[in-house]
Amino acid sequence: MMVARTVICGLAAILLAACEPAETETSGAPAGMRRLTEEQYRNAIADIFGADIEVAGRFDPIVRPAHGLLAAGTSEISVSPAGFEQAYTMANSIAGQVLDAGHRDAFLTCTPADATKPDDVCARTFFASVGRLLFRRPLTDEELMSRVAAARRATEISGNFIQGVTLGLGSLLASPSFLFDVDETEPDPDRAGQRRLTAYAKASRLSFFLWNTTPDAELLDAAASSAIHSAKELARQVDRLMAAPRLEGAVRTFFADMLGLEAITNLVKDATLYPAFVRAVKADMPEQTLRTIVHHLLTKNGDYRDLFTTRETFITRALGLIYQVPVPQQTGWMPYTFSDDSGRAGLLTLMNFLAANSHDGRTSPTLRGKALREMLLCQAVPIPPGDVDFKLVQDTNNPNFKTTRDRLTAHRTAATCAGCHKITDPIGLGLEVFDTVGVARTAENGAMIDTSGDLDGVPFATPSELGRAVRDNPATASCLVHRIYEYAIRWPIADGERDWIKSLEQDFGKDGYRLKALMRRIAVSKAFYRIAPAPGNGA
Amino acid sequence: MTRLADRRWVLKGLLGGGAVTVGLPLLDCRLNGNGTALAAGAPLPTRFGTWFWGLGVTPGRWKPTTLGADYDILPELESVAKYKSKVSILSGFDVLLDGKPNFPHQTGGPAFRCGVAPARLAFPGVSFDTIIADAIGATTRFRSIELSGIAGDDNTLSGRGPGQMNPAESSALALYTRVFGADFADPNAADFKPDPAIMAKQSVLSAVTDERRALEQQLGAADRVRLDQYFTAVRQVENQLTLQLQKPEPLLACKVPKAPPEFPVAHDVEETIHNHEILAQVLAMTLTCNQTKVFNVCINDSASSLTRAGSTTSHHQLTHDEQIDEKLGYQPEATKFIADLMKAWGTFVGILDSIPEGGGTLLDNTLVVAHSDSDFAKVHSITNLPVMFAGAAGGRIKPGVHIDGKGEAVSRLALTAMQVMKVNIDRFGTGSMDTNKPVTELFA
Amino acid sequence: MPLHHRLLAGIATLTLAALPAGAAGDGETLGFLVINFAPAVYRGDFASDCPEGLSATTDEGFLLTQTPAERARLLKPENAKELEQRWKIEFTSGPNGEEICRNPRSFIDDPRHPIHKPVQSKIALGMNLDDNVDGSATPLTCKHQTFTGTDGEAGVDNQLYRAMGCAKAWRGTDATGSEMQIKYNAYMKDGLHNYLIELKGVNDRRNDPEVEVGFYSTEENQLLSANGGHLAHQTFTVTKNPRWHNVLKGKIVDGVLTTETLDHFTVDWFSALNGPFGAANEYAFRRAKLRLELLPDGTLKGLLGGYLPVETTSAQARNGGRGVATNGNRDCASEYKSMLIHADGFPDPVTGQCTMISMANDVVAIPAFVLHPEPPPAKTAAAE
Repeated sequence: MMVARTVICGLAAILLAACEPAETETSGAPAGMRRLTEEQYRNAIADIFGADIEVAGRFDPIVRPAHGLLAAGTSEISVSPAGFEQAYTMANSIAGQVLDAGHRDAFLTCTPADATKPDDVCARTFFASVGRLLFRRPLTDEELMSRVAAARRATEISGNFIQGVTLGLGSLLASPSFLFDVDETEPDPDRAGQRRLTAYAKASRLSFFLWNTTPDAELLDAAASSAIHSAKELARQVDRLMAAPRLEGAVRTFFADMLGLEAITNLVKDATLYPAFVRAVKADMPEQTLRTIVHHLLTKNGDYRDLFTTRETFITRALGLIYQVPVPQQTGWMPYTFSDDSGRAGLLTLMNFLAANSHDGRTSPTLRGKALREMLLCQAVPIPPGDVDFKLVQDTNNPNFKTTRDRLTAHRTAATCAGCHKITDPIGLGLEVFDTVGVARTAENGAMIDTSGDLDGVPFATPSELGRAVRDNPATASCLVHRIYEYAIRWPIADGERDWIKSLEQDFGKDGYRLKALMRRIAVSKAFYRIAPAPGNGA
Repeated sequence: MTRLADRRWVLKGLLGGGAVTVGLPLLDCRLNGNGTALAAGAPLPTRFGTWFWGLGVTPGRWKPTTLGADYDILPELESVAKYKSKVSILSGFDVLLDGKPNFPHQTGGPAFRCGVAPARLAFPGVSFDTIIADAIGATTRFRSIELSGIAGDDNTLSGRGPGQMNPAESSALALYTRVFGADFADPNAADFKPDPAIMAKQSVLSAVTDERRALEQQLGAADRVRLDQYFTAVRQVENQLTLQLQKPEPLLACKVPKAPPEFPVAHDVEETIHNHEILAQVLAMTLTCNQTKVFNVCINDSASSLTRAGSTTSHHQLTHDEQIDEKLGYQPEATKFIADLMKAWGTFVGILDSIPEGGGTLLDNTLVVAHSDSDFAKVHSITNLPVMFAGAAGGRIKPGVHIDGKGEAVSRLALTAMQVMKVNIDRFGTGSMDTNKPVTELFA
Repeated sequence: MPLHHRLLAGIATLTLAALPAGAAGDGETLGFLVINFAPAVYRGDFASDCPEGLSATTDEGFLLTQTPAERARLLKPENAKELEQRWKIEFTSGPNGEEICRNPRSFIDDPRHPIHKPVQSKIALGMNLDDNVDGSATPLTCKHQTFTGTDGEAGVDNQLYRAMGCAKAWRGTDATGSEMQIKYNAYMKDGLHNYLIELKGVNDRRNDPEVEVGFYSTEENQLLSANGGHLAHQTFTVTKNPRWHNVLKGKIVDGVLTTETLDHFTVDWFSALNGPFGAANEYAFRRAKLRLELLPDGTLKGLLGGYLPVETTSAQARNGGRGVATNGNRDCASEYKSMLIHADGFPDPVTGQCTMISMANDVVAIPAFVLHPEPPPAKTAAAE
């Protein structure tokens, strides 16, 4: 439990606690519309209707904006025809399950007068109650009447009331008001001429941030009473959400996004050269990194930067194949600490970072270096030029390069190449003692591997030292702040937010680089809910 | 089979869930004397598709040295040798950058499809296959079908812009299930009853479209566009439901295939080639059964992540790292990948050509535009982009010729294809790729 | 990370670490998973090994009991059904419903199932198990012929090979391998039974006068690669059952580890064996020892030599009943008789018939982490 210096300076302040400085002003982002991710969709269904409801279907992939998070991409994508086909099929399938004999009593609290005929009153009651949970706000009169009429039509065709409301429920689940999180706004009483998120929209934004799902009943109630507009009630809800186990799921989703883990589905390694990269290993690989992160940042509430130097992690028997250490526990995960002479310390030396940023059959220092720069330091690496002259690479007398460092000599010496490759290659070369699946090695083709280099002027000789250089690099902590905020608002960060972000970075430092403190600051801030006017936004 | 003197069918009340019974006229009397059209006068559908492969061709091993008909076949085109009269080669057409960067492997493909090179790393516009699908796709269950040989639903060049791409299917079984699964109405089925469940579904969807106005009012311009796309997608499903309530026109050649086996693929070249073949087979019957008229295939991705088992490297790396063999004059391992891809192209053309339809084959009633992202991938060249037109588009196109574009913009080819497919369009492309000149030598 | 854990099986990177000579203290511990453990079959020159050809399979054996005329008649296609019924049912059955694979002892005097043709050549894979080189009888052994080992060792005792080395399913061919070996090793891949080896106190992998060798059963299964191959560096825990802990003293000379003889060497075997009433599922060797080469890639390769009860080794081979004789086309009764005839160990005090047979198993093992549960292993060669 951190000591929060959240005493507000008020007129009646008696205590001599330090006053919280006024929050840095920020522009906020315009009101937007964010498509639910597959995870959010599934979480919503499980939370609203129960975990035993089967959700089977394909979701349109989210496009990752250049140098951005998938979370930000949700504000740019829509639903394709193939995607809606799936969404509609899923909607009807879910509705069918919710209203089947085994489930319906929990949701349909009224009985129709005649099971074969429409019953508008009962239908309306039903749609109002589930609709509020699905749309994350009460349905408007029009919306209710439209569903009731639809259920009526369907009942008349099918001769079955349940069938009618099932299809009506399906239409709620296929609705853009469910599939998208729409920022509904109203005039802001505190800022003349500006708009603010409605209480329900606030509740949604907060819930998707901290729990990656739709607002629960208590949060919806806080919105219904407008209590959520008060700083005190907001803080109370934030603390409630942050104390719950669900926070871990959201943190996992965040880091999976930040580390680009979705690309792992298509990761393969050459089976002849690397037979140990079996399915169990591939499955455990990202999980190890996520567990390490969760343990360090949530369970231990540790310093974010130490993720790059910590030797504490978790391991399974399958991963034992890669790390080549004994794993006493036969099944499942057990805590594991690398020995001091293992050569492993920090996320960069865990299998996920090494294998995911590497080719099928050999390593790629450039890819590993690029991954560190872009994902963990938030530094964009320029794309290679289209007109590279490869004669240089070709024109060697005897291309008998033994180590990767030798092969990449051209990257470092040719003028057109070096400018960019010096940003990436030294980092990756510092990790060459781990092959493309992350197994440790000291030599390549008989020649010893040299892992010395420097990161923005800080020299290192081993991967552990590289980890320390990353830890101490100011971009590391500031990148996390950027990313978590981008994740929270699910929008690319606007220029007008820069000062606010800077203040967050400073506070992050003051809080000992603790993630929970950072998340809480964001969640209770005004900035997080700030709506910027959009050009041409009508209402 | 005897010919019936007349057609008889009886339609009983649709609403109220009544059954519709149709006495099926025997199939061959539905066709006109040549078998090239349905008796009612509707011609067999003309299909359009694209077929994309990444990393181009090998200089000196693909482009024919002769022009016009009966062009000579070089090694990388051997697989289409026997279909030569149905395949045209379009060389010498360029992607014009207008000062924009040539993003390695990210410029050529999108530029060909959209008539403009991307200014940043995002799909630069509306792909011309989408324009064709908009024009002809409304009358089939699926507006278009997108397929990928390798794993990854984002391996697609069909769409309207970033975040608005049509995802690709890489599993033949999943494609089969989507097309021939529960919602498939066999056009040759003996009787047809509009399903009351579908009628009910259709009646309910308007509750979704009703929400449009209220939502739009809250959104900014960019979001309104996205909302619009969403409702376009809803319309497509409404369309599908409407079509499912109508008896489909019988199609002689449509035979529901057996479900293909589950075949998990990543990006191993041999697995990809095999996967592509089973996808193509399901696609061919999808087209024959008129479930869609538009398709887009990307066998590998632009930068070609293809690998070969036992090798430490990938197709992409080989094109850049492998030395040109002095004796052969090309990169041996990289070229092997191109050979595999071109063989797959031959397989694809062959599969379309193997289905008899009307008096010819499915290929005769189709136009396939095949193209790559680059010419010589090693240097990312986007001039002289390799392009092929396969099929006769129902007689609208004169295939089997090699035409040299002499540096003209590739957008001319997209315009040609759209006009062949009877899209009402007279110009395509932006900047120096803006053109109103189709390649008329191709028109029949 | 301990240096030995860096050895990578299957990848051609060599990191042999030479420890300083005379390193004091425990030395290193090396763990292994056994991936080959089946009777060793030496396929030398076929004409020398089996001058009379291969032993008859079940169907061949049946036809041999018929007159030439009858043989020709039965081989006609129209009589195929009759032939099948006769060799599969009639030939494999005894007068009281016995069946040659479940009850081989009932066919001891049945001339239809003769002894298999023994191996005639002089060379075999194996070890000298009885302290003499001429095969003469000793208190613990019966008189028998010896072989010369493939490495020139004199007095190699491998009567099992002599008995079975010309039987098709045992011998196999260089191209196909031996069906018997494939089956035995598949049991391990399938996780039906698995074995671990642990070398303790290794100060020098080339030459070390004192090393402790453990050979254990484990109940844990292994992960296989996508192609169904073995994977090194997995972790296994030794069984808690002390019956299946075997510890021997050994030494390494020029990279080859040899051990003392362990009087009882027992590991588990997955299926019930037909033996004396109450026989446990065990692979129970007597007077067993190991000879294993420590290869540069980190694997162990060599032999386990010892005596197995004829009952056990015959039962292992015919695990499955009549199907072994029909589908597997192996005459179980002939096999059993052959093993009895050539048995050379532990004579029955009353009848003098040797009850055990000398044999050698191939042993191949890949690096693994071997962990011990509480309590530590109990049985060693020296009396506790």
